[in-house]
Amino acid sequence: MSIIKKRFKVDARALLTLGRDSIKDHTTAIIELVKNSYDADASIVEIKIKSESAKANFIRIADNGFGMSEAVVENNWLRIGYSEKRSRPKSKGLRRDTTGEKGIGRLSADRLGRKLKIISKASRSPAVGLEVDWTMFESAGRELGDIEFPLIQNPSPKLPEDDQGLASKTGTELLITDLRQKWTADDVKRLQQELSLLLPPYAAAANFFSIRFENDVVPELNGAIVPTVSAAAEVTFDGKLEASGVLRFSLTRRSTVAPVPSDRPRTVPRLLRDKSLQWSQINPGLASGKAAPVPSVLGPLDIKLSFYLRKADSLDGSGINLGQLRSFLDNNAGVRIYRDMIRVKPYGDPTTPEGDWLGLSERRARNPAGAGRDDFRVASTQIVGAVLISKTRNKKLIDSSSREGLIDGDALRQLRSVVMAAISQIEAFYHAAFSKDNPGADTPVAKAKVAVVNLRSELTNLRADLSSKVPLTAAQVSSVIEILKVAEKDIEELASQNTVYRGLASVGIAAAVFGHETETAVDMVQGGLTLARLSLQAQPAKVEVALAELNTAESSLQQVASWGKFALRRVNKDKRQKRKMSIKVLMEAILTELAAPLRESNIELTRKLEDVSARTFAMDIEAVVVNFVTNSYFAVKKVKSGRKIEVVLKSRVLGGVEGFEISVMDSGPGFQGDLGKAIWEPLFSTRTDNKGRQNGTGLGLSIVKSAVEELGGKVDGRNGSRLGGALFSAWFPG
Amino acid sequence: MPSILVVDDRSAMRDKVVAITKACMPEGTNWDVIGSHPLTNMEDFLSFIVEEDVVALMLDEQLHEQMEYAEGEAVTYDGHDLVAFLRKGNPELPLFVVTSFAENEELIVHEDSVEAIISRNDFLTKPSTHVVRIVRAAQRFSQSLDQELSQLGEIAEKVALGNASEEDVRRGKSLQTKLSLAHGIDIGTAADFVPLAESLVKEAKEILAAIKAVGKNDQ
Repeated sequence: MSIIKKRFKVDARALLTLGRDSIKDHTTAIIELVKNSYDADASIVEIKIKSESAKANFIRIADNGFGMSEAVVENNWLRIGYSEKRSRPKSKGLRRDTTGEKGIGRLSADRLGRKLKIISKASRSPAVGLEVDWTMFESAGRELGDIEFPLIQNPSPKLPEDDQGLASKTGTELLITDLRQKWTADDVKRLQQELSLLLPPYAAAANFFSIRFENDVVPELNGAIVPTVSAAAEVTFDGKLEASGVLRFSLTRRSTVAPVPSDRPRTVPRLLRDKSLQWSQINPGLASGKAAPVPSVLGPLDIKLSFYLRKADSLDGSGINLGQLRSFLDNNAGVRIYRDMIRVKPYGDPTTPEGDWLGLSERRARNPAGAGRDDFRVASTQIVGAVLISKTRNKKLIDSSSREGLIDGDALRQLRSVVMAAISQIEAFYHAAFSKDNPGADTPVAKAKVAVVNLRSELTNLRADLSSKVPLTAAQVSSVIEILKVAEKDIEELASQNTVYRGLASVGIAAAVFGHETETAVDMVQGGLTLARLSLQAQPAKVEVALAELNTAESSLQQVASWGKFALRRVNKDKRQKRKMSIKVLMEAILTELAAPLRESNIELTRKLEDVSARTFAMDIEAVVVNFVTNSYFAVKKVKSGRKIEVVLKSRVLGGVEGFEISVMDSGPGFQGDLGKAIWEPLFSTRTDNKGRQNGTGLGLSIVKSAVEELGGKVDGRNGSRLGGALFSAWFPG
Repeated sequence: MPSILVVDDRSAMRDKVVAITKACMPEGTNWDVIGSHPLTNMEDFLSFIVEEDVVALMLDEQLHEQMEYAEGEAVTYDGHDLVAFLRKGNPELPLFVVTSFAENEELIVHEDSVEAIISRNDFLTKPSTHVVRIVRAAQRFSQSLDQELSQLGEIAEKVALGNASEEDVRRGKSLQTKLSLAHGIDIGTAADFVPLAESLVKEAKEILAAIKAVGKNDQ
């Protein structure tokens, strides 16, 4: 008995459900069609939207991909649900990761307009054209397979031209007419933004993939689509390695940045042009241990890098939000290598471990310091970049025969060094700029403030999104933002109080040190008065002696009074405000006051002060000087002779940032051992008595560090100064 | 002439304390008050005290603040270190610490080793009270010293004459240690020397007698 079989029949309307109804909107529809061009190895896609005229409206999408022959149109394009991409996830020629595999992207054309003309030309095949009328699928009860479309006679696609004006010999042109929807300005803007997010970073620079856009709704958006996110990059690096090994580059920082407090004017240049690194600076490692440096085996190549912050407040004015940036970076972070338009995998692929060929993740994990620190390292998820090479000029970069990628030899190692040198330049540039804009960014107060600012910025974005949809929630978010504003002010106030506390603590430390001198002066007054009294009581009274004693008592009294004033002057209200001042004059005054009690212990205080002016807090500068000098005071008293302290003030450029440095050296025995950073920690005292026991408060250097870092500076301490003892220094930007 | 010694590294303050102490010296006390920068070696104080006939010592706690002169050297010890050193050799010399650091912990540890720790400000405010105390302690020490020196002199004489008993020798040694006499009689050596000398004299007499006997035989 034969088995009777049945089969599905497909109603023509099913196609509309798959296409028109499943595509969210008309911008998504265009994106789907552009993805098809990308998957066809196109390097250029042209999109033209003419929507303003009701009659002559159309959308044209043309690419220079590998095109289709008539057989491919017949067997693939007209076969719904067929996708070559499912069985072959890489594109044919350029081995791109293809973007779709459902086989319905072509139906997006139906979402855009009622009629479609598709004309395609593949290599070694004549062009083929087809006219599709999607309305034919709207008739109820028709079988899908019953609907036929006519081939276009003598089709001739208009394909994109390259930079030399030569039209591509292969490719596909789609012409969609009888548009279903009029395009508004918002639609066009959204499309432009989505297209820009679709673009792989630096793809255009590599001639890898570019989109030319034209419309009659918002004509100012016409032109090549650039990745919108490039506008959100905090720092961009544009460099060229010459065959001689010299890397010439420029660095640019975003001009629209989060507002900074008005009392912190920016002076860091936004742009560093015409910079260069010599080969010996780029590749010293390979040269080590060999008599002559290993020369560059690389040919000329271009390096383009963008550094992103992944923070909401860094996106002000960029036109994209944090969610979009994160999504972009999740897909595109990494430094990719393009060789003659073709991407060399897996370099720069964020989804595979081999993709991080520069070891940025491990480097960052080893050193997670923030941008305020000079050992700041970028994260692998913050860098997007491209290295553009050509096969003929970089012959040493050879493909590995056993696996994907290049042979891991000298050439690749050198390439790695070059790119890392470029990344180091970004790090140094951003660190300098960041330190300038955010003095003391690594301090707990500054970190708390940044956290509040970021939260506020994210909430502001959230409120914008919510306001149209959920007004009540938006109102609640607004009240939270207001509370955060107050918190931000409180934190600023706290930071200002810190300065005062540091000043007071320094006076306290100075009082502990020099209090003995003051007490001695008081005793001298007392002794003088007693002797004067005894001299007058003597028989006969010794009036001359009494007068002499009263005179010396008076000078001792002046000493006591000057110490009282010293304390008051340190906490003067003027000194709590940031203002432009002569650092030299400020230091002259305090050192003159300190010199007197130092002399009492046979300590010679010398000063070498350059004429330096800066905008800063006087109280913090004084705190640094007082604490450094008191530290040295204790140190030199441990030596029997030649007690010397020298204070130096000079201008100094550090990491490309102008500033000044205060250093204090002494002839003491130096601090014990290699104490490194520990000496700057609170409650760690470098000060010991003659018997080696700690006798300091451990606050002095910690106060210095806190004051200096809040002003964006750096501290340093080491033994072996010119005077034989320790040398402590504090560098301030400004 | 007995003297009171003031040790302070700060010359201005030292001069003041010396002057005030002199001015407050009770009538009839014909003593000198001398000031000194801390000596480089603490050991030198032993002979200094003997040579200057020091009967009381007033010292500061912080002794290394100032050098004696600009090119000189500061000492490496503090007042309490000097107290500990002097007490080993001279348990009864009156020591008074006059200092701004009366509360210093290390000094307080040595509180029992000194007659008093006097706040310098208190000394300068009420000098007579303190000077009288110091002089009284110095007088006691001076009288005791005189008696002990006298005893030691007697014992030394006995030893020299070979009449010293074992008890005399023991007492002599004890006094010598107590008085820290750098150039006194070495009682131990002397006590050992006398019997040796006596045996040598006896031996010499015997030799002399033998020589004489030989001479007679020759004749």
